[in-house]
Amino acid sequence: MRRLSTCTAFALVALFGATAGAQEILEYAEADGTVKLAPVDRVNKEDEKDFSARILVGGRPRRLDIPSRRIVSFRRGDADAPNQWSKQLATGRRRYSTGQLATQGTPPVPGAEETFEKVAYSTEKGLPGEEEEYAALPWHNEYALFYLIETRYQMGLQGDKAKLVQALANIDEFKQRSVKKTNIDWEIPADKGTKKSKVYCWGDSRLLPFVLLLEARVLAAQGEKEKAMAAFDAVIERAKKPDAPPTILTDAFVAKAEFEAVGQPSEAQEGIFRAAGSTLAGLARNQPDEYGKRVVTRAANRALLRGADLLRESAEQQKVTWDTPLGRYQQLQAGEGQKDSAVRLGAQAGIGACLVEKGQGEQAYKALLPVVVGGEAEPEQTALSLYYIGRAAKLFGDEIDRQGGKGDILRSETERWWADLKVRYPTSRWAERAK
Amino acid sequence: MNVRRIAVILLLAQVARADKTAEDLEFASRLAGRGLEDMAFQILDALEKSPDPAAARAGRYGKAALERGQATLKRLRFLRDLEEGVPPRVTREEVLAAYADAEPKIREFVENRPDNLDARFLLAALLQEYAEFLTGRDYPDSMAAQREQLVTQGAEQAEKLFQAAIANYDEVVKRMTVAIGNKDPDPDDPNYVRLTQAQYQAALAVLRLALLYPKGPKFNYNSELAIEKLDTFMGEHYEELHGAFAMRDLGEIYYERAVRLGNADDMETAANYFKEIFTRIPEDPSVKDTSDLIARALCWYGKSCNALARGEGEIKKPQPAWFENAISVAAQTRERLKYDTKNPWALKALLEAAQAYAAQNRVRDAVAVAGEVLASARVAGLRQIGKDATDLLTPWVGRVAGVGVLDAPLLFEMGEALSAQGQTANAIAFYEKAVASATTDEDRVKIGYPALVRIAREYRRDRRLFAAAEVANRVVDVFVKDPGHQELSDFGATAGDACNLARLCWKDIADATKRPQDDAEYKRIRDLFVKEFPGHPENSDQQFSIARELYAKGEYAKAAEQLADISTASRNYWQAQRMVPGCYRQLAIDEKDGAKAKAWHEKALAAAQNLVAVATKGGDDPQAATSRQTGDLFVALSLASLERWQEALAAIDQYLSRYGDPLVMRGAEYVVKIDAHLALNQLQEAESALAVMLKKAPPGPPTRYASYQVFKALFEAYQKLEAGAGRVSMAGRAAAILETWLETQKDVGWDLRYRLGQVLFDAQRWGDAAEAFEASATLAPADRKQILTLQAAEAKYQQLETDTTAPAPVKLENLAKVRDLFTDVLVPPDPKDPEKKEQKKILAELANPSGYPTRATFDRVKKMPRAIYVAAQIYAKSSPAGIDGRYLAIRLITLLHEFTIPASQPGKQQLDEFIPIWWDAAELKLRTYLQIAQSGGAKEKEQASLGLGYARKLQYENPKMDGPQRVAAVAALEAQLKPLAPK
Repeated sequence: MRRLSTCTAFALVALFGATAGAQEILEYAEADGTVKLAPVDRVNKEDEKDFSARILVGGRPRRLDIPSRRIVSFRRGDADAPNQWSKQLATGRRRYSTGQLATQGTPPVPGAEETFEKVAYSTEKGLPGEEEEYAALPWHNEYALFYLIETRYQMGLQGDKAKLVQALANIDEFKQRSVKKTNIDWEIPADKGTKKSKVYCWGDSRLLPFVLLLEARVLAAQGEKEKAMAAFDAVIERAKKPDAPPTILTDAFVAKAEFEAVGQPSEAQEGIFRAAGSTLAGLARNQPDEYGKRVVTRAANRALLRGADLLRESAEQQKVTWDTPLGRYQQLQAGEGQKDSAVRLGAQAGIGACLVEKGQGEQAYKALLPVVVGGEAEPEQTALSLYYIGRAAKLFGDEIDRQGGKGDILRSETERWWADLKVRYPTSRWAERAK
Repeated sequence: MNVRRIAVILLLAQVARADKTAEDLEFASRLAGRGLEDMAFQILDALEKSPDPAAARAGRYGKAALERGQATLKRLRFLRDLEEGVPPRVTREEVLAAYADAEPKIREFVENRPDNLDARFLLAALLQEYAEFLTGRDYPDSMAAQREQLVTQGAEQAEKLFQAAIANYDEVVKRMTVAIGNKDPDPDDPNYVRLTQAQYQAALAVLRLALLYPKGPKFNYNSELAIEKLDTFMGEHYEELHGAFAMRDLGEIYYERAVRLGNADDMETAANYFKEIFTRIPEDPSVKDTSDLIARALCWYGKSCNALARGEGEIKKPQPAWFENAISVAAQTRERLKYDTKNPWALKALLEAAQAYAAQNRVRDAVAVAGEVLASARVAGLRQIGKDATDLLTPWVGRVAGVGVLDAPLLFEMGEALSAQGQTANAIAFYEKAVASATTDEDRVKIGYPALVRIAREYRRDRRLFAAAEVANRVVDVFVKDPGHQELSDFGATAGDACNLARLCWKDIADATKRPQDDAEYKRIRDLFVKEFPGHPENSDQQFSIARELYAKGEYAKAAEQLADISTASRNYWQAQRMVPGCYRQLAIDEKDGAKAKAWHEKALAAAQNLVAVATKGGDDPQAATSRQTGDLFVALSLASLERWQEALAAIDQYLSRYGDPLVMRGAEYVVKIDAHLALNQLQEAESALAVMLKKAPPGPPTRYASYQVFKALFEAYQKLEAGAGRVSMAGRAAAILETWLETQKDVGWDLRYRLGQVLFDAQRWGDAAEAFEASATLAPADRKQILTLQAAEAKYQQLETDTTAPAPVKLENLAKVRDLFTDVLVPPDPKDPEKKEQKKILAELANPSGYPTRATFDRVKKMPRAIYVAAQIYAKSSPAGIDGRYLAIRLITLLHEFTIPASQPGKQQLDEFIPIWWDAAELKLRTYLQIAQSGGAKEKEQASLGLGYARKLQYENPKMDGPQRVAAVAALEAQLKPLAPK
């Protein structure tokens, strides 16, 4: 960030943007629930309960002390940092985000897994005077191991089951290294097999709850039903504590519901999500701060909405009538939708879709319009609404004709809505249906 | 680029120093420079034909040079139009034709003057330009595909042209080298300058020739040759700007070699050359070429690095580490060029850096840099670069998620760029992202709400009107529901635009669907717009249009209220103010209750007086002057309507003296004056005013109204007059007005024609009256036809009576016709009795002096007082065959007196109108007696006795008769009868 001081005001903004992607950016919540974003200059403390750092606000450093639970997102690694391990973390993240997970080709191009693995076990000190550039710190290991678990989980989901086993081993390792010691002996990967070496420990880690959730997910991916359920329950129990990040609670609930719902009939699935939503709604009230209340309430509502969407899918498969999901969406709109815009938009989109299927053009069109023009934050709902409003426009036009008016302007809209859908959401399943 | 300046420079450079006839040549150059090529040609032509061989040579050369200059000029125009994306003013074919025309002329000149190196250089430059244009070398990047096509098509011809150009440059180099000999290089020596130019151009021509070929021996050979030449040149001119240009060209040829031949080392060499330029060359802001050179080098450096990193073309092997070098171009561009936001090469350089960021998956960085380029390109009007930036950004932005990752202004800019490119869906998507990214109040006001308005506009442009209205309404809702926002000045304007858009959309929807609910929604939003955004430029139009709508519907009170509310800043202000008194006047006219009508007139008067007062303060504004005039007129109109006639007259006289010509109200101005005069019993003044009005005003309701009012007044006035010249004259004037009035009326009814006949009769225009009565009779209902026919007949009779020109027999004949007409009315013949025997019998019985007709006979005659009286007059003068009409006249008068009365009697007022007829008839009877008595023998003398008795009876029963004149007339007749009566 030293470069900033030499730039003009315009260039400063541009430069901030230019370096932002490679920098450590902290997304955190204030006590009132407001979410903020700031570049991190230095982290002072980061354990399971507390987080302390120097952040940059308007280019000026400011100290930030918050409970760890209020960190919304903090991915470490800085491409512009002088430290090579920090750069490596950033490189690994970049590779992860482009799906370059495994090392490939000849000569081999390293993937995220290799990059993170290398960092996870580095204890390099750096020559005197070069420590800043070359020294590996415990947090480098900590984050690298966490990212390695994530990477291997993803690789497992992509079909490499052995990676799930490795991920579980890494999870166990993460737990063991989250102790208040300087280092421990560990079998680390070597050119041929493994070798014993001292590796860093990092004490309490704010990442541990996330690792435990990953453990449950990995077990679920392995199809270990009982173990997975037990793991999810353990995470949930732990996440109910007031100092736990609320996102863990909500993610665990939703992941558990998704896991439970696999293979169930649609109506049963709806029941699972409704139950998850209701439970979360209850837990939201017990959250110690506004941020927690917001996160959990939002997740509860999303679960309820997901349930309603499952009913709509049942109606599509002609297992229930369209009135069933319509009624549920209307309930959501009148209830949770009053306070939660995501639910409101989702319910509105669902109502519009059901009304189209019932042949009620004008009502459907008017229900869908607010989602189409204001649902940017909810891409799935917007894509669905674009598809259905194309159909609703045709119906609405015909209704106007029957009322003695002229509905041509509506009928001619169909193609344009669908063209929008294909441009804006080309990979959406709704774009495929828009013909 | 000043293309004409280039032509002048070319001409001056190549021509002016060519010969001693410099004066003529310079003049021709100046003419060409001012676009007067034809005149320049004439001068050069004259020189060419000069007996002096030197002058002739100079003229020939000058003409050739001018032709080359024209070809260059056309080429540059064509390329500039391509760059700007406008239809070319000169076609490609015309440019090629210009080169094809110029080439043989210069070539011929060179062949004849092989020692003229200027001409040779000129020829080489022309050939090079020709070849480059042929292969589309300077076509803009946006036309890369056409460029490739042109290279393929024109390679063969271009090759020959380049080779000829190179040969000529080499010849110049050879001869100049000899000319300079071993002297030290001197930049001020013209020979040294020419040598340098030729060397560089020769190397450049080889480079361009090389680029014509795909990979293969020709490319290898020529690119090596170009490198050798450029390298030599660069070595010799390393410290000069020329050297840097050669370095740039070397970089370019290495780049091309790398891409075509797959040698990564060549690409690195290229990159190093470019890098050397921007790191070594000092920038001189006063020399644009330096900035361009540096910017171009930066761009090509970025391009080379990216090509190496990607393994572009035949290089194949990617070396991603080079992306970092490409990324460094962004910082270098800022540092070296102080970020020249208008230099297209600088922006292209930044785009290369952005691509490198993206390739490194640093998408947010890529977006930030490309966004910067987009914003700069839009400001600088560099459309192609703007489009390139947008094309790059569109897919990248979709990959970036998260709160505040991208700043709202950039997203908004992208929406703007996409909108300008007609990419509606993408534009909407980016505007929506801008809305979502605007999280603070300030951002929402500056970016979020304007972005919503843009989205609404996009939807409206795409005819998705409901969506457009919905989006616009979101902004309006904030304005209405959140008073805090209203205080933010920018927001008010944005919300006004949004509301106006919503209004326009709902109008279109309502017009298209024809549904009442849509129309109601339109009206709701329109009313909201009018109420909430009075300052919006389109608002007063709206308010005004609503007011006019109300006026048209007859809701004058509401219209007046709306009109009075229109702001003084509105362009409709004066027109609105002028309509206000009219609204109140209409209310008064429509009001049946007199008192209430009067109140409205009072209000109209007050509004008019207010208008006058406001307009008087309006100064020289023509609208204010018009309004003052309207106000003055309405004051007069209102005063007249309030029957304040003296004031009205004064007001209208003042108005007419001030604005009388021309009449803006189609004569309504005079209506007030005429009404006032009539109301004040100033009939003559009213007549005069009408005469002026008819001259000045076009026919229309005001003239018709005024004419009728004056006619009515005249009619009523002369009716009250005694018979005489005055009465006839006044009736004549009334008749004239009525005739003119009737000419302007359509479908004039029988009653008006009758009234005309009546007035004409009173004016003693008998013939015209007869015509009018007849016309009336034609149109009248059956029960009226008879009486109208009789009136026509009477008029004809009167005409006969007064006609002094017709011969007696003719008059008698005509009189007989009128008489028969009367007879047929009074004693209608039986249609079955064509010979009218029965009628004749009745007439004979009535006319029998010795007998007395029976009651039944009398009853066979119709009791029509006037007709009987007129018939009696006629019979007294004209007798039917076999009957003495005089007796018939006396008997008819006797009959008349049976059902009419000589004086008013209680209960018989309906007969009062016949009293004058009664007495006229009585006098006629006496005269007829006298006539008979005077005309014949004893038998006739008896009639004198009867007459004398009758006169005395009259005198006895009604001593005053119907007036002293009658008393005198009867007395005179009595005196005449007395001596004739048998003793």
